[in-house]
Amino acid sequence: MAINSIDCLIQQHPNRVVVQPRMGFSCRREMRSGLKVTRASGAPVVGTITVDAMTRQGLVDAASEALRRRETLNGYPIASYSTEENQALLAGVRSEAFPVQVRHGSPLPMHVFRAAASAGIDSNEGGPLSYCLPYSRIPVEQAIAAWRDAIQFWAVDAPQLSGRQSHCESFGGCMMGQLCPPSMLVALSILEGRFFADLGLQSLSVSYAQGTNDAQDIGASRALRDLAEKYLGAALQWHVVQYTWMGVFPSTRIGALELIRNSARIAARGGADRLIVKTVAEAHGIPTVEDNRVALTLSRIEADTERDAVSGLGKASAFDQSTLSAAEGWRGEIAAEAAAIVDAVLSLDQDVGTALAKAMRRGWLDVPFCLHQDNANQARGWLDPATGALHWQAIGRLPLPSAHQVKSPTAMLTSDGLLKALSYNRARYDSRATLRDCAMA
Amino acid sequence: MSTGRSKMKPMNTAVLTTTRSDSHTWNLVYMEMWLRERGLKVINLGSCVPASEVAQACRTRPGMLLVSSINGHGGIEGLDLIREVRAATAGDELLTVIGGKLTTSPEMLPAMTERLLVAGFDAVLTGADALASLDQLLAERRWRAAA
Repeated sequence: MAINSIDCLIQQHPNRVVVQPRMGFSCRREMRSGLKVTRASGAPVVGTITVDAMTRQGLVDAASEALRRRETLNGYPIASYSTEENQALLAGVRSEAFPVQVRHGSPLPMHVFRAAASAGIDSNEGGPLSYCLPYSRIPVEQAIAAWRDAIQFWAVDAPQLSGRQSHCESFGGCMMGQLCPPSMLVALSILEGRFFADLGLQSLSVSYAQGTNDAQDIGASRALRDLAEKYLGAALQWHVVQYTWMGVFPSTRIGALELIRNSARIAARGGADRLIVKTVAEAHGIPTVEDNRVALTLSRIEADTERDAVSGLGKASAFDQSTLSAAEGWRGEIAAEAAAIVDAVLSLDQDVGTALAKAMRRGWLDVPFCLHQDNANQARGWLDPATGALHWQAIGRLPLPSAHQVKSPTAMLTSDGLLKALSYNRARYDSRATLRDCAMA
Repeated sequence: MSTGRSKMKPMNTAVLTTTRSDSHTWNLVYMEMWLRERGLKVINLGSCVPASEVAQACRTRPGMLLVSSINGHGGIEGLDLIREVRAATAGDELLTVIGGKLTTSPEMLPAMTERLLVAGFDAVLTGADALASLDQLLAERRWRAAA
């Protein structure tokens, strides 16, 4: 079986960061043109088909009806278009050098996997916990069962249709978008990776979403790679994906651009293989294709520059020495915490899916601020306003030594404190924009 | 908007929810803290809540229903929601408030606000002063714990 197309692209560009947008249109012509613009933005790049919210929730009939009425959906309704229409979307656009991935958010995903496979798509995204806990009311055990079926299909049957090894990326690195301490993100992504591998998937990726402190982010990305080496091993094809900041975005253009640039530098320095970008439109509405083209180009330039610095070919790193030393400290701390969680969860059952369900029931996996009925919601993160770094304020029943809890100066988080923590990056980058504007004036 | 019911018992519980298609939850996490800080007990129903579940929760005789939605579909989905809640709680004293970003464009908001009020909401709170208005509403009803 031929190697997965994203793996192939990454192997061909070993010292680069592959960039990729989030992009979905209900109109097939628009979707195709978005993919073409993505491809033309430069190499190495992966195209994205983001699926609409109705299809994500399994409301395929409603999505089809909306399509018939020519209503605009917030993504591409892949299960409402016919196999021929999906194939025509990709014909002459997708190639060896330009893989296309489906991104969705379905807690019960089989219909998305089937439609993707029929269209010959070999790369997918999600996970039994990461697509269930933040967005749905589906019981965790039901989502795990559905993902088990979908991944088995994806690993065994889908390659017959695509002609390539199937790939799935865990979304575990982005729980609630912000304020989740990095060790939980790393642990969840590794555990979902093990879940995929357990079901026979040969090609997968693990993820981490940029947070609020550069050193912590670089350290977390490296810790994620360390743990992938430990828990996924050399027998599988795997790589590390970073997401540009998924929380409250800077409202100024300059602030947003600086955040996007910084996410690319962190990806390059942290050793990520692929970066999913955001655009300057993030705070204001749905990005245009042009917004995405700009973000991809900008991210590629910044990542290449920082990679040159890493390999000693270019100028100095964008990060100062104290940030880089602090990153190594975080790497060790995050890897140790995440490994403790992963080991404890895997010890619960031979079957990874069953272990995940048991761990949720025990509160051994617990996502701060997640309102899902199966989440213990006893663990709490705390953003240090002085540094932006995330710590555990309360670990609930997480299998961690209690020493990991910080004594926060504010024992109780208030609504006002929450708002400030959620807006930390907006304030941080928007204030830089203001300073720069003043300097230029 | 009528807020002049004088024999209301002291506030105990608020049911906090969003609409069927809305998967956002930070607004709910925030509003839960905000209400608790004002002395209210909160039943937080989480994301993507079907109207039937909201109606079910309102049968437990809370003092208030607060619907927070920010995906732009809250207005349309709020209409069905409030009809179902009013049908399920006929005769109960229940303050019902909806707020957030309720339409996909600002021009649609005035007409939608009117429809939501006609359908049975006591208050539609949007824009920069939404929270101040809610605070005042709680104070008028003497539900807000003394600051």
